[in-house]
Parts: sequence; structure tokens; C-alpha cells
Amino acid sequence: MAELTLEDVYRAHGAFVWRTLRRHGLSELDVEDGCQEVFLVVHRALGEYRGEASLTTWLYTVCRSVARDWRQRAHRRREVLVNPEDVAAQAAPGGGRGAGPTPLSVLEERRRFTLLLTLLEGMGEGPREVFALAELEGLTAREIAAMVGIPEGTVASRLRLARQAFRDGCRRVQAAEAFTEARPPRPVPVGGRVVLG
Amino acid sequence: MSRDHVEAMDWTTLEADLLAAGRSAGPTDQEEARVWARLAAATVTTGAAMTTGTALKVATPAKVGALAAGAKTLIPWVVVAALAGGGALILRHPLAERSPPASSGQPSATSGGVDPAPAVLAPPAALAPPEPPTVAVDDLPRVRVAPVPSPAVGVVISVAPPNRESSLAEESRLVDEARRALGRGEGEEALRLLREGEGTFGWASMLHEEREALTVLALARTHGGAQASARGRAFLEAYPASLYRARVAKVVEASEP
Repeated sequence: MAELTLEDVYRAHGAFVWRTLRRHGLSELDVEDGCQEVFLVVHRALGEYRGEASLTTWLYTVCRSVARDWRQRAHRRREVLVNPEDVAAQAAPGGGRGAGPTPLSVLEERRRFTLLLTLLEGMGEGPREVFALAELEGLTAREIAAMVGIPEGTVASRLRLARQAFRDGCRRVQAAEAFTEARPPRPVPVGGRVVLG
Repeated sequence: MSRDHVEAMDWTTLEADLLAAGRSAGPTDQEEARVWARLAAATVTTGAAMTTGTALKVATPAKVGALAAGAKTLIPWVVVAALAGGGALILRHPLAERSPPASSGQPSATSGGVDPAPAVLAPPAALAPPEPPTVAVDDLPRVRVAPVPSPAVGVVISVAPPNRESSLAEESRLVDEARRALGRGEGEEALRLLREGEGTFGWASMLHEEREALTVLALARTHGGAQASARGRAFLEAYPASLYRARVAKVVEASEP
């Protein structure tokens, strides 16, 4: 029987845990603490884990529990939800944090990820979960059904809904971006007179 | 990736970009290092002899391979935590062990490790960490201002930014060694390493909190209660929400008359 240490678990699934917590509402400021909580749970429960369940499934369950507790501790939640105007601003070239032509930078990736999270948030919990596991984590419908505890048919229907919502959201982002680029300069009122800026 | 009952989509550029960002999102090396440093310190125990960690049993070597396949975002240094009550911790400095990402065919860290029909294991009940205490503004620790030497005329000051990753690796190595020394019962050696780390990296560095906590524990072992207690009280005042609070508080309480 092969032995697997906490180190192995973290090496293989640290990023998965990080992403899962972010998708479940932990802000960038909170996610490190959330990861620590998850792995402290893993630490405490290693003795109980006997390999019957998929490690991924187990970690996912722990992540959901930690995220749920986190949301309930409202005073600790420092997340600021992004409104549609902010989404448009982020989608615009050079918009959002980390403005500048650095498309491959970490900041740019984080900006895209934040935008993705915003779109996921508009899907509703059920479709969001299925969409994320299928499109981001690469799980099959069968695996998702086992992980979430729903029939495979429900996985498929939720995924269809979620994909459509994602597609619609991306269209809105592009429309907002086009509008921002095409908008004429706004008149600037100065001393009661209007001066075209 | 197999798609049971679902078809692959033909995404637009924006859609594909966002999904790619969602797939690759994860902590930076520094973020990973911070999590591990705190996790390691939170799980370390002192006093008892350090023992081998409890290993997580996994049924098949295939799973281990699948896990290794997902190790594309590795931490710069890692921890092997030993668990179960009275467990201990072994820290390793694995820069040399950083394994290359195996099996490029895997779409994600998770797809290979999922059982066809796994039973969901309920998470332990006690997930909530202790609530952070409320602290009045007046009770907050005072800001300590590091003395800034004024440069003499003609002195050339290097403006090159420090290599933060290598600094963090070196800082963590010292904390790691101090922790192991403490685990072996070598309090003086632990203190020497902690002083070295503090002298090199200072109070504003990333692992200052860890060094302070270990210092209290090492002082309790080597110099008795009074010194450890004083340092411990200062630590509790400076880090009221620290994960090491309980351990440090224990040292302080033990030294109270």
C-alpha cells in the first residue's frame, strides 16, 4: 500500500483548493487563510481517511464546508462584489487593477480570473458548481454527479444552463467594452458653463 | 478528458481566455510559501519527542501517480506534517526535490485522481476556527519603527530590489532548522538560528511571527519561565489572533506564580 503524506496532498491539490475556495466566495484577501483552514482539517482528519472516497471529492467537500463557514462569519468576509460597471471597466483594455499592456502577467491573469468569478456568480449555485467542475477542473459528468451528489442527467442540464449563462455574460462584457470604447467624451461643466472636454 | 454526456464547446476568444484563466488560477509561489509556513508552525508541537508523521494511506499506486501528475504548481519548499494527537512535524527544504510536472496528458490536477463512484466522506464537524478576539484600538500593538541609517555623502546605495523568493526560501530554511532543533530538544541551537533569522530579515519580514512564537517556546526550554513569559506576553499582545496563541499562552500560564 502506498503512503501519501500531507505534502503530497498539498503538492497535488493546493491549487485546486485555492481555486475552489475562490469560486465559493472567498476573496483574494481571504483565500490564504481559507487554504490554511482546509489543510488543517486535512491534517486533523488524515487518520480518518482510508481511501474509500476520492481524495479530490473529500477535499472538495472540506472546501465547501470551510467556504460555507466563512460566509457565515460575515464579519470576516471582506469580499467586495463587483458590479456590472466594474465588469465592463475590467474588461476594457487596460482596465481594472494592474492596468498596462501586460497580458501575460500574473495581474492580468488574476484580472481575468476575477472577471470569470463575476460571471460565475451570476449563474446560481447549482449550475455554477457543475460548470466549474466540468469546464475548469475537467471532470466528467459521472465524476461530477458523484462529487455533488446529483444524477448525471441533472449534471448535463445544469451544465447546459451554465454554459448559456456564461456565453450570455461574455457577450454582455464585450458589449460593455464596445460601448466604453465608442462613448464620446463627456461634457465637463465648469462654472455653470458647459465646456466640451 | 472524457465528456460523459456533455459535448465540448466551441468557445469564442474571450470565453476561452476566461476559462483558461479559471483553469490555471492558483496561488503564487509566495502565497503558497506563506500558507505552508503558517500551516507548519500551526501544527508543530514541542516538548514531546518528534516522531514520524502519520501518513495518509491510499490504496493504489495509481492514485499517487495521479497526484504527482497534478503537481504543476509546486511550493518552493514543503512540509511533511505529522499528525494525530501528539503528532509532530518534519519540515523539509525541497527546492532540490521539486519534481517536474509529470504526464502532460492530464488536463488538470484532479481528473486523474477521481474514483468512478467515490463515496463522499463527510468532513469533520469542527471546521470553524476560533473566532478572532475583539481588540480595542488602544490595545493594538504599537508600531515598531526600524531605525533607518542615514547614508553618508558619497555612499553608493544599491537600488536593486531584493530577490524576494530566494529571501523567503532562506528565511523559511532558518525557521525550518530552528523548528527541527527545537524538536530535537536543542533549545540553544534553535535560539541561535532564530536570532540569525531575526538579524537577517528583521521584524517586518514574512516569518517574523513564526520566529517569535518559536523563540518563546525555545526560551521556555532553555532559560526557564520568566524570560519566556515576558517574551510570550509581548507576543500575545502583538499577535492577538495568532495561530500560535494557544501554545504561547500555555508557556505564559505555566510560568505564572
